[in-house]
Amino acid sequence: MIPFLLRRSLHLIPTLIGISLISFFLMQLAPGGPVDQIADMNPHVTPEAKARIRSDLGLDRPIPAQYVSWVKRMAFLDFGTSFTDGRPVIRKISERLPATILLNILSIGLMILLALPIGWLSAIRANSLFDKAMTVLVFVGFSMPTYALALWLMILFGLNLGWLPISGWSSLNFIEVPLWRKALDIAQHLIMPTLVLGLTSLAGLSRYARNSLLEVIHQDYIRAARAKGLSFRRVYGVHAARNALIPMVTLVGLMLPDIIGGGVIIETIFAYPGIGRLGYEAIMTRDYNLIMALTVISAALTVLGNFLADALYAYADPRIRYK
Amino acid sequence: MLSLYLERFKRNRLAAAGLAIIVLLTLGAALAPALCPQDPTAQNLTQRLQGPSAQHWMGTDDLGRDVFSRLLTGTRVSLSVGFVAVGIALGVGTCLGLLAGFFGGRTDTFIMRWVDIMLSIPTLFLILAVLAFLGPNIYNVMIIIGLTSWPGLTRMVRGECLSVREREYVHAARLSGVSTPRLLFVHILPNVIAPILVSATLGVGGAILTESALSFLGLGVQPPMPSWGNILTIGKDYLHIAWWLSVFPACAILITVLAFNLLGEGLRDVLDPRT
Repeated sequence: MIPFLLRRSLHLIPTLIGISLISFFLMQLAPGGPVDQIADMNPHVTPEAKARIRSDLGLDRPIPAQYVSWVKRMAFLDFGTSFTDGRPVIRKISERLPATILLNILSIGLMILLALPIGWLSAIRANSLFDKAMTVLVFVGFSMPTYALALWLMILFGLNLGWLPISGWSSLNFIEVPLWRKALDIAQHLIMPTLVLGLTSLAGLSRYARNSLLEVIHQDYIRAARAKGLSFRRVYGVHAARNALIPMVTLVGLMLPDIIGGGVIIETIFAYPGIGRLGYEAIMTRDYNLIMALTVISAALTVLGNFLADALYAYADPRIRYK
Repeated sequence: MLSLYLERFKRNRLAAAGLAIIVLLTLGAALAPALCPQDPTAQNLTQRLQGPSAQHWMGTDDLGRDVFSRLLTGTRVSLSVGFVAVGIALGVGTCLGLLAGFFGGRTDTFIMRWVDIMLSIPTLFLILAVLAFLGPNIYNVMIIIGLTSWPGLTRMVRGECLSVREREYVHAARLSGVSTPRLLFVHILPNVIAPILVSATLGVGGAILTESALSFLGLGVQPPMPSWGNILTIGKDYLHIAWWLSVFPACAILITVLAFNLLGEGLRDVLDPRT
């Protein structure tokens, strides 16, 4: 197990370097660079002032030198300050990160809890009415524009029925209520974003689970297990499910970037204080340091998630370790 | 062979329905200027936010423009973004995949490392950031969606190419002196085309969905050019008084993307004998 993990973590290094390169050169795309984008709106900014800002930010140095010093500072988690309010970028991100991690864990949990049973039942009763209905339903969820679903849920549960709050992640009286009411309050705010993110991303996983299980079911060892008299439940619920569903761990890892990216839309619509909405605000205000930091951090989180998924997979299935 | 595929395809009613919808939409998009009952950008402020009626089949928006005409014109935007973006992704993804699978070694490692990197960056965020800097318009949207959606395809083409290149007919072709580009594109490519076709079809649906999300967030197709996403942006502000402004465009997106996904899945069943 240890050699596998070491080998796998060596792979992380070039990936992380590549991510930092992309994030850095993303910023070189802007015509005129950051200074023009900030200063062009203000007619009082003289060319000399622009040059001063440029040298203050170190933007007058050669691009490779800028890249190296940016990476060096990043190693100490120094991502510079935000252009909009001058606060350290890392502080702004760390305030928002817990909310996003909570939302992502819940929606991935919901997705797995729904996708695996749906995939399992569909495979056991392949081509039944249930299988067909689920195929169509899952595809509808997959093809649904997430923001439209979010808007309709807001209308239904937020406005018409009035059951759930439609924005933010806490109510106005949050600070004065006791702890259990605080937890309840956050939970209520999380229901709709979790539903939307979970339901719209479950298609891939449940289809994959179904097909993978279908392949396993027709193998000899399953027939042998049935022949020696093991119960239906034990054979399909344990023997088949274990082999078919363990590879799903990697798939969930691969879905992370889509889920984090989808968070940009969902968090913006629900005014949810996570890094997705922070990213949207950063993009809209051309907040360079914040955008670069968010690209790097969200990609690094994905890489970490994939690493964990692979480690988990290797732990569950020893064959993987010796490939 | 082809008749066998056709036979299998006909039995898959969902996929056939998907194809029918796509054909209809393409026709609608091509003939949109002739079919539009009204000018999609003509404002009529006395007719603001009218519900569906005989005159305005899907009502009017906040500036009195005919929603049906805008939706129909938006079909052109969505389909052209879908097809062009997938075309770009196909070109880049197939070439890189063939190169990685065929040459192996360092080329393979280098290309696959980039695939890993691209697959770990949240794509939507990357697209939004690039659009914010380059300026949002329909051409940038097509190009950027295309340039960010090739990695999955590359990985798949590489895998297929790895197994095909060991087949005897490839060795035979190489021994008889066929040049490398010809070997790649004439001899190997046709044998990996089936999975490429499937993921291209699914890709069109994905690209349309992404475009609509970008336009919804204000960084895609810019008004007054109508797109399903930016009609929905207006609909969002009038959700409680004008349902037709959000329901019709959302259904248009849903039905179109669903059609491409069902067709893609159907093609997979037809072309892939393993499942």
